[in-house]
Amino acid sequence: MLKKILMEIDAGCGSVRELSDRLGIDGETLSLQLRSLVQQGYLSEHKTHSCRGCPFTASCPGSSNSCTAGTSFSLNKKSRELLAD
Amino acid sequence: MVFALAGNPNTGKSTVFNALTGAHQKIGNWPGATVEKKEGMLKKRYQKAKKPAKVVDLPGTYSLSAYTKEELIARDFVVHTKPDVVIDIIDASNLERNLYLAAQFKELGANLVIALNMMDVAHRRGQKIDVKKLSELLGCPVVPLVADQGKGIDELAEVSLLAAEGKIKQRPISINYGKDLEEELEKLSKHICQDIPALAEKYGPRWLAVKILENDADVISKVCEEDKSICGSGLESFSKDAEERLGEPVDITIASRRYGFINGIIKSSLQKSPEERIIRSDQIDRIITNPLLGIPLFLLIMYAMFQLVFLLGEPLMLGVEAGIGAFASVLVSLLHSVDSPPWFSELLMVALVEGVGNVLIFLPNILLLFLAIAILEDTGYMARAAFVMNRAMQKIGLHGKSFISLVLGFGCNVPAVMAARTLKNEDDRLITILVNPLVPCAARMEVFVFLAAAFFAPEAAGQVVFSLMLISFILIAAMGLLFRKSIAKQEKQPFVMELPPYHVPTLKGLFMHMWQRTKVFVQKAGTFIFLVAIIMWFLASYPQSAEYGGPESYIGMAGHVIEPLFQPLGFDWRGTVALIFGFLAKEVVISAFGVLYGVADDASLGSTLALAWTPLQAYVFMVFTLIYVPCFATIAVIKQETNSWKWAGFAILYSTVLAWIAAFLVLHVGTALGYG
Repeated sequence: MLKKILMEIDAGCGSVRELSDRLGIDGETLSLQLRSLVQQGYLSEHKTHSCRGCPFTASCPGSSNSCTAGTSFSLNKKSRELLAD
Repeated sequence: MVFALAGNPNTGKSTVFNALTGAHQKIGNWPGATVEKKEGMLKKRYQKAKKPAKVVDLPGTYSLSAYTKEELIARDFVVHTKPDVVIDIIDASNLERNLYLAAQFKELGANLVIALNMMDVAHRRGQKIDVKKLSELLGCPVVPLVADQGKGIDELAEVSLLAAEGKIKQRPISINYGKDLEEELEKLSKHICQDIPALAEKYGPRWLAVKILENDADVISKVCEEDKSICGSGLESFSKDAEERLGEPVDITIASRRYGFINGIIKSSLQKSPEERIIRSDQIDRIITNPLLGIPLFLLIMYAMFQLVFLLGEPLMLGVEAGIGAFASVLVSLLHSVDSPPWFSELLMVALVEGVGNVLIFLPNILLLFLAIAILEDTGYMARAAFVMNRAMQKIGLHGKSFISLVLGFGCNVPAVMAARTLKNEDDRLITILVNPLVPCAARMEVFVFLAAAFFAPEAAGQVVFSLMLISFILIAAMGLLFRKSIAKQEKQPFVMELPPYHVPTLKGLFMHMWQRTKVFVQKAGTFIFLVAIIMWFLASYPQSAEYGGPESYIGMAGHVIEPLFQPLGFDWRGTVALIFGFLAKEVVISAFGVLYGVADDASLGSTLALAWTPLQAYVFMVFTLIYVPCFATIAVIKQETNSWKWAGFAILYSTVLAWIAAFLVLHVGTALGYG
């Protein structure tokens, strides 16, 4: 199942909902499986909290931006090697 | 007697803990970690004649792997302290997700009681859970709960006490990992029993074998401490053999089979009504993120937002303008009454009223714009908009993840350029950084709001700002394509996006968002813009022989030198100087107008400007402001992120040239169409 998730991600970008539709599994479970793949080193996770640590936060009009874009999970070297095999 | 309370985060664990223990709680940290530890005694009314029971709240975790310190703490506590019972709080409405942890507790051999919390939510979602069947399949008691209403807490305490006393028997479960892996597990288990019997007794040989094959660093180090001979290549050979047989990494197979086991339980114990399965959020997403409808809907929402901002903002703006006018009159009388030197009175009037005051007049519109953005963000729409735009971006050669950076650009280009770090590929990063300044930041939006309100009727002002957004999108697409073709070819980097759920925004949340942004805007007007206005006043007033803001003043001399460059765009030297000062920060452009055009006592800056410029000139100015380099802070960050002055210089050069060409085209096309 987890390898199938990686293969589906490799097939094209999309949302977790679209991916869960393609795989026929619950969105919540898919989220957990994606995190499991992150922990195992097969996916890279990116959250959009980029204002943190920015030296201009105090003077920036957009610095109160909340998390606007959610979390993205992308394939990395380890998963690409796995899929290439 | 010890009860351990475990569960995924946000399953109502704290509510259950409070209900079981009442006020008698002790809060500290887990040894060697900054993770909070809560302990309490089970309420006396539950204990009756039995031994007192301590309830320990374990950190919220999704699994018992060794990837996070929370997982390690929970796992070690169950193994070393051997609690009499582990109560796993499960969110009944997300059963599949929560059972992963429960399955791992069973594998670890814990004396488990499942507390099936949030049964009301599951019921509302049309989910029917066969509690008896679930209990049979998991081999442990299952107690349904609605913890926040206190329902089921008494039963949970009663069942947990019986389980702790051994009056409810557990049935061990063994997940079948498939023939190939099971053979490997059996071989490894035998070795474990022979070579490291102490560990085998503590953890169980099968559990240790599974963890070794999963490459669990904590377990492997424990095994190596116990017996160095089995360590290293000895352990690796088991994983390698299994991997060769399976044709994929063992940890992937083990996790997949565990999910398979959970799926089996779900199929037998959970009924979902088909019409409820697709929850509302998903239904909305099917329309909002639809590949065909997504972009038109996004544009429609943006259009409506700008229209509302100007239509609602107009009467409020007139009120603030009257207030600033009254403040100016009071200031003049006050300065007159204290016999203030003329230069000081002029300085204060120019810097405070014409510089800062003219920026503040547009505060209602800015406030409404921030409110609209806060609503879009808090409902979760902005994330969808970004996702929808991402599809289009992929087509024009920008990396999918660029959109994270570009969305942040609507707030400020500085953190947006920094956010390009999430892109691993150097070329993708560079392209994202270079197109980022074309996203109109909040400061540039303020300039647009100011000029659109000054030159256009409220009904048209929204359309003007909306058209600037469209120009921005078109330029991002065009430059993205151009850079992609000239810098590097795109490398496929697929990803999947988890969108936050939709929310009904709270008034408090919206107010906080709006207030935080407005506060920054007002602070900047009162400090940085005030200071720049003073500098501009000085440059416009001196040398002493020069007329204020005349061609002989310092600012006039500099403006006239640069003016020929911008004359083809229809800008006079004052507009040119405002653009140059805009390099410090875009809001300064507005105060520069106030200082340089010297507003008459009974006129607003808008009406003064409207006499000097045509609406087309104002629009051309906005187009130039939209495209040319945002501010020096953005350039500094581009230098820092690309580690090259060459690219920082290129960003200034290309954006300025592009702005000039676009403004020139707009001026001439507009004139040809009769808008001149």
